[in-house]
Amino acid sequence: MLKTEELQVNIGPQHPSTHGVFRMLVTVDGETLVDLKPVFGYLHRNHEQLGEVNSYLQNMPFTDRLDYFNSMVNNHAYARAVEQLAGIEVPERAQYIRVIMDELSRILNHASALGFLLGDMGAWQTSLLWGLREREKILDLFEYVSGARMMCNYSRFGGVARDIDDYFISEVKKLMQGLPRYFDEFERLLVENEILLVRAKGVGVLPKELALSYSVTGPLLRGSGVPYDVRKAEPYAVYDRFDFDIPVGTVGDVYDRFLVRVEEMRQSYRILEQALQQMPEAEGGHINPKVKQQSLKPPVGESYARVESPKGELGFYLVSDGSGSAYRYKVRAPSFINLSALADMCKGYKIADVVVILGSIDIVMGEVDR
Amino acid sequence: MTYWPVIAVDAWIGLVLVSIIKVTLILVGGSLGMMFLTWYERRAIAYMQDRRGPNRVGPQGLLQPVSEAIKTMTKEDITPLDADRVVHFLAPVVMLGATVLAFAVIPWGNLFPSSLRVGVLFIFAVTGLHTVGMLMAGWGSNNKFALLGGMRGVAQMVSYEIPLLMALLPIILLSGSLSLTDIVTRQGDWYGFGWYVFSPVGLTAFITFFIAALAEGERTPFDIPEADSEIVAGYLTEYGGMKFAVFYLSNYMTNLALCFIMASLFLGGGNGPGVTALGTVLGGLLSLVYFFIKALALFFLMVLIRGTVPRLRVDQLMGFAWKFLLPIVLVNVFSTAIWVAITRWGPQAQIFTDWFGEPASDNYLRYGVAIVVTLIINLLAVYAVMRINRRQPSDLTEEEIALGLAG
Amino acid sequence: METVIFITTAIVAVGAALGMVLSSNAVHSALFLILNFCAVAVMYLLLRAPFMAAVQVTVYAGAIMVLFLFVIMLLGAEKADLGSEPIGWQKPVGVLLGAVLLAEGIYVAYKGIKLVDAPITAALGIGQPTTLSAVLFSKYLLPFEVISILLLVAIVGTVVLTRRTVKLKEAE
Repeated sequence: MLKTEELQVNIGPQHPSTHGVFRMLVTVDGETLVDLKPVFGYLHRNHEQLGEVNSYLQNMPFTDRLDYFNSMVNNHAYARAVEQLAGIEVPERAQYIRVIMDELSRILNHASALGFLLGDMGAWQTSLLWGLREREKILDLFEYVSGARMMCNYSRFGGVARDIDDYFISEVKKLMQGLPRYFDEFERLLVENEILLVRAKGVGVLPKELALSYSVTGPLLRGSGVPYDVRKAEPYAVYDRFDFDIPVGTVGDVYDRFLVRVEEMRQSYRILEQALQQMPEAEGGHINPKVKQQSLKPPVGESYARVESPKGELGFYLVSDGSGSAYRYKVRAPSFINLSALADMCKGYKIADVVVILGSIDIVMGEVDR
Repeated sequence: MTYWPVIAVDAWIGLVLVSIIKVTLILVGGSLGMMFLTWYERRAIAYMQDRRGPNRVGPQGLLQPVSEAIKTMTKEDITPLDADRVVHFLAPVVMLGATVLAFAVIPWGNLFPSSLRVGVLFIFAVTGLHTVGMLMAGWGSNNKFALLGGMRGVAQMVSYEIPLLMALLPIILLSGSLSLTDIVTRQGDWYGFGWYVFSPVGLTAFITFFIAALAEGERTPFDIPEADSEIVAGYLTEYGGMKFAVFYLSNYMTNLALCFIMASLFLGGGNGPGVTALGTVLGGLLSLVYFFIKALALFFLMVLIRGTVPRLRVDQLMGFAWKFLLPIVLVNVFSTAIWVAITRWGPQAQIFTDWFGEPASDNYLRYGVAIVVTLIINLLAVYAVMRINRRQPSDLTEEEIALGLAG
Repeated sequence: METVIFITTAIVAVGAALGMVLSSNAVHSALFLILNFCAVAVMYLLLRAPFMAAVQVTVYAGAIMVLFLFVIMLLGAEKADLGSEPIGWQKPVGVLLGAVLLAEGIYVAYKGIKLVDAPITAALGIGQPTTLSAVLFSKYLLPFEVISILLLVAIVGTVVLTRRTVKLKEAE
């Protein structure tokens, strides 16, 4: 029997579907993948070191640049870590505002992630632009409330930078009218398209045990059938007041992840509905006025705060030595940890599947290389 | 030395001149058509994606391709250091040559009939040389992505050429000719609506041919040789500037040629209501219009598919060709034979004459019976193939091994 | 006109054949062979046998040679290893056979130039697909069917052979 050569191919760092500057050193036998080695660090910019030099407030806009799709969630997580460290009370209204922003962010992220995923499968940009359609509207809302479309820098210690007004709420309600139909359309895209089904079903299977041992979180973990969600496991903000479900997959393939994301968008919609309903009764302003934002000096100690970012569990670990900047600052980035499971998910599949699997993990390089 | 025919000098100068004019027309027309198609495709896809598409250069952005042509021509011509220079240079030439040759036998409406008697075969012979160009580009670039793309391209082309040619067989059976002009003329009855696509066998042939043509023209969902999200740009990776433009040109001209061929073979070419009534010149012009409308409609269908469907994986692609298309196409050849027997056989099969009367173009009973019988056969075939393929879900690797893809 | 075309194609064909034999790179050889086939196809056209020309290009240049190229590239065997000759007596025998073939060609060209005289009108019919198929399906039906069965056996054999290796791989 003739032996064909095994080919080593570098996918990336300049490659259309690596979602940023990411390199996969791939060994293929024909089209089948034998080995995969992820190589990253091309976007490293000393984020954690900078966090130890900056003052606490100065670091807030830096967190925007982690997962630049969801700066709102990053701000929230970081603010929570600092609030825990300094023992700051957050008014109820501010909590609701943060939840609304988080859930809008989740819809935004999942819509565009699914669009990108379909784009990786070769649907010629149509799906991508479909995903970006709703994202645009949400970004407009973010701009209205924070002044920036993507780098929102919205949270402050003890609340948020600006209050939301009636116009914002009416706009959110207007946006939400179209959302259920949009979710249904997105789901139909998958369930009724034969090619998509054969590309997604049984591809990139991540078994439950493996997912747990890799400490994978977010839709990736839930797609593998583990009902773990920080919003339920350790309810933060006001998440314990809402009624919502955690969607889980059964097999753990690309198809399950797709369905989980679509379903999560629906659950976000439910949370939004309830949050908008409950918010008028919430007490307090949008921010705790007693907090000294600029010259915050938390007492000596450490804190770890986590939130459910759209990509998984996003955690911030802070150690304070009592000065104006953190002694130690560490980010638990979900993209980075989820990415570590890539090689095991890809082995034995075709090259074409690798990009689809990578797309289904939904990584952002800004978060992987901090 | 008398066995070589002697032609007077002035006669062959005229021949050469006419040939040169024809070739120039095809080349200019082909490249202009390709430019129009790129614009058309981008605008159509933009419309599907809630965008506007190119609309700045010239009226409605029609001159956008011109500006792009200038851009590609003025770009630096790069050959990779370790590439095989000659092969790398010749690959686009081979690609374009293969495509342009196909245009030689396409009848443009009723105005310019082509005379080659085996025109259909000729087209697929020369477009088959595409694969050579692809391999040359893939290997000559000395790039792994290019090589992978070239391999994929060849595997795809070779396996889809079989259903493509097999899908043609019914048409050849129905018309009894290999000449495109003859095939078109024979679809002229029934007030210009005697297109082959209106019979069950013709319809099946058309659909299967269309799918195979998508693969031959590297259109989504079969664009895996240049799948940009997987292997950068496949065999095109190391090409830039004018060489890339030539590849692009040949790709679009292939698609244009495939649309023309489909319009001629299945949709009656230039036939339509009023063509015969209006006489040679006016009717010829009308036929040209019909022909272009049909071809553009087919191209629009291709664009529509490109804008909606994701790409298949290599093994799924092969599986589709061998397990799905090929059986259906083979059954279709069989049912075409039955169609011909029922509609045309008089003295050869007395039993048909006894049952349905003499074969004639107005013997509707014979046509009705033929439609019912062939429709049933084809539907059964499609159903059976679908059922069989459903049983084994994703294990499609045997075909690859048969093709030598897997080790 | 035809003379001009004939001479050009003949030169191309001979040149391609020489290039095929002389080039040390297997891919180049295969490409030269394709060029040769195409030139021969043009000659068929000159002989008014367009069907043969189309078949020549489809089968040889389009299918067989592409598979050749594919295999060469897949195995990365394009560089011929000139140093070691596996079969020692291959070269002298090749030279001998070549000489015999050359002598034969010269003999035919010298002696039998009239061979070309007769068939050119008679051969007109052979190139037509209708005559060809009529002969194939009546006079030579049995050989035709035997060949089809042979090809089928070959296909089945390939499938069976590759299947076994797959199973072996799984067992490892």
